[in-house]
Amino acid sequence: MSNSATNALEAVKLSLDIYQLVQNAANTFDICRLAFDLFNQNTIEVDLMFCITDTKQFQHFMTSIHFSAFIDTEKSERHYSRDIGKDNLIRKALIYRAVLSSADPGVRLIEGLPEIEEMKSWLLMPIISAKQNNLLGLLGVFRKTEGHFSLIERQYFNVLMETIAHFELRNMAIITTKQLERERTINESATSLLHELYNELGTIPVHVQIIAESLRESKAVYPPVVDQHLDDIDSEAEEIRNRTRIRVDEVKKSLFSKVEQFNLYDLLIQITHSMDLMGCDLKFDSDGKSFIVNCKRRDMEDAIRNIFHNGIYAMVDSPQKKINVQITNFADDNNRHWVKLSLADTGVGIEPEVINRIWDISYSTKDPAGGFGLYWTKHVVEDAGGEIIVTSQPGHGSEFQIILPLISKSS
Amino acid sequence: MSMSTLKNKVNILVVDDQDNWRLAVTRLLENSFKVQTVSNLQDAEEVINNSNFDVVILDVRLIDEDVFNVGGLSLLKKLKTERPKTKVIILTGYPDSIRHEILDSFAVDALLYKAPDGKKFDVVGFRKIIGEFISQSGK
Repeated sequence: MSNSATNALEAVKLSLDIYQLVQNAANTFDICRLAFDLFNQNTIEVDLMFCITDTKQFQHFMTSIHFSAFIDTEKSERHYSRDIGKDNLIRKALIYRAVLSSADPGVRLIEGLPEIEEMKSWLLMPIISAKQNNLLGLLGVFRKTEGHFSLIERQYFNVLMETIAHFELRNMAIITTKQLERERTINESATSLLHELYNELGTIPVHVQIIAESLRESKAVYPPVVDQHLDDIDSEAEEIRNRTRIRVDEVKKSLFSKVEQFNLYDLLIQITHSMDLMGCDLKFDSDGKSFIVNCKRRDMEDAIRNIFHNGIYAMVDSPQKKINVQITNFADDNNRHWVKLSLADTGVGIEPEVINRIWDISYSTKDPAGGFGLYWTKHVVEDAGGEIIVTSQPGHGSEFQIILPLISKSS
Repeated sequence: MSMSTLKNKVNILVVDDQDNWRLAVTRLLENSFKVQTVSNLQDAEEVINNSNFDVVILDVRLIDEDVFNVGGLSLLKKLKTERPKTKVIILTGYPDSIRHEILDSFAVDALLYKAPDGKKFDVVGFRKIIGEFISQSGK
């Protein structure tokens, strides 16, 4: 294998190493910090670091990259023939880097792919998450070559990312904790929450201003698009503040959400049709199509979605990705009728020594500031007069059973 | 006086329980001044006892539950009685909870809001105030 091809393969292997590190990261912003650490330590040569807000989406990208970036440079005539979507910037970035790393003429961009200059502009474009509930925006950082950032400018971006990362984690913790602990003082907690989030968000424009000043003072040559992106971040922060207010209203509505009768079967259909299952196979069984329950529908929807999300996350590395959903009814010894909703995955499972801790507030294997999801789920189910049970076999998967009082059932 | 020499002569203390705000204010000032930060009342009292500061930037609500800002106001009182030459800027995220008459009685030198509704933190105004205080100190 030629040296240049070896370099290309090494470059790709580094991508895969990053992929492994990403899988072990607790949350999206751990990924960001990890990427920055690696970048700043020059441990790896990476032209681009993308940081996005949605861990699920990032993992989806990384999964798809795994295939397209695994270049077999022994076959120098191999082309990058995969259909690369316009928006798949991470994939393009890695391919670009692999190509640049290789002087092997066999490793080249094929006809029909964009010119390198255009690809460079993709690398410069940060992905601003304007439409996701996970707030925040991204920054793209790139190495210093012509027209790229200086060290001090990268440091400022680093600070900005730290600020955003810290805010994101604290934001999640604040919202969920206050939601659970201050149910009685809705107005006060919502107002206080709003103030805190507003205050936290208020630091982002400050950092943006510092960055802009630094760039002007340093007189460095940097792509004009950077100014636009700084403006975008500024606007994004404002947008997030507005959405923060909306979120507070949602908290109020959720806490005030009323008890109502609804068909649990219909709710499940709605959930399974609207969720991104991330390539998991869903099997749905039911012994009827009408299971009327009486509880807070909105909260129950959130609770069930949370279990789905946990199951999908648990199957990221599993060779089989299956979710079995089953809804049945039964009568107990006292002739009371119940509906049982079972969600079983084929994920990593839960170790016996921690299975009882998953309901604890703030216990999480994913996010040091998280861990509220299952606590909240249990709260919702028990508030509805039901029960939630989990069984698990490490390495094979877990099953969550939600049992609720059944008002009526018909075939 | 050049900025580099000012950095050795002007000490600023930032007292705020919110990490992001300590960081943001530090970033705004660190190129020109010597900046120290603390996150709670106890550390602030210790630092003030041991050092002289030209300016203290103080968030009156140092713990969430302190809705009457008792902690921050006690620190303000300490500064104004024991360090009368130190300029104090109140930087708060809770404009509604600030009792202006109390601030007036302590002769607070400036009051700024972190993120007033619909507006951004006034970076220009903040720097201007700092500059004026330093000028008044003769440094």
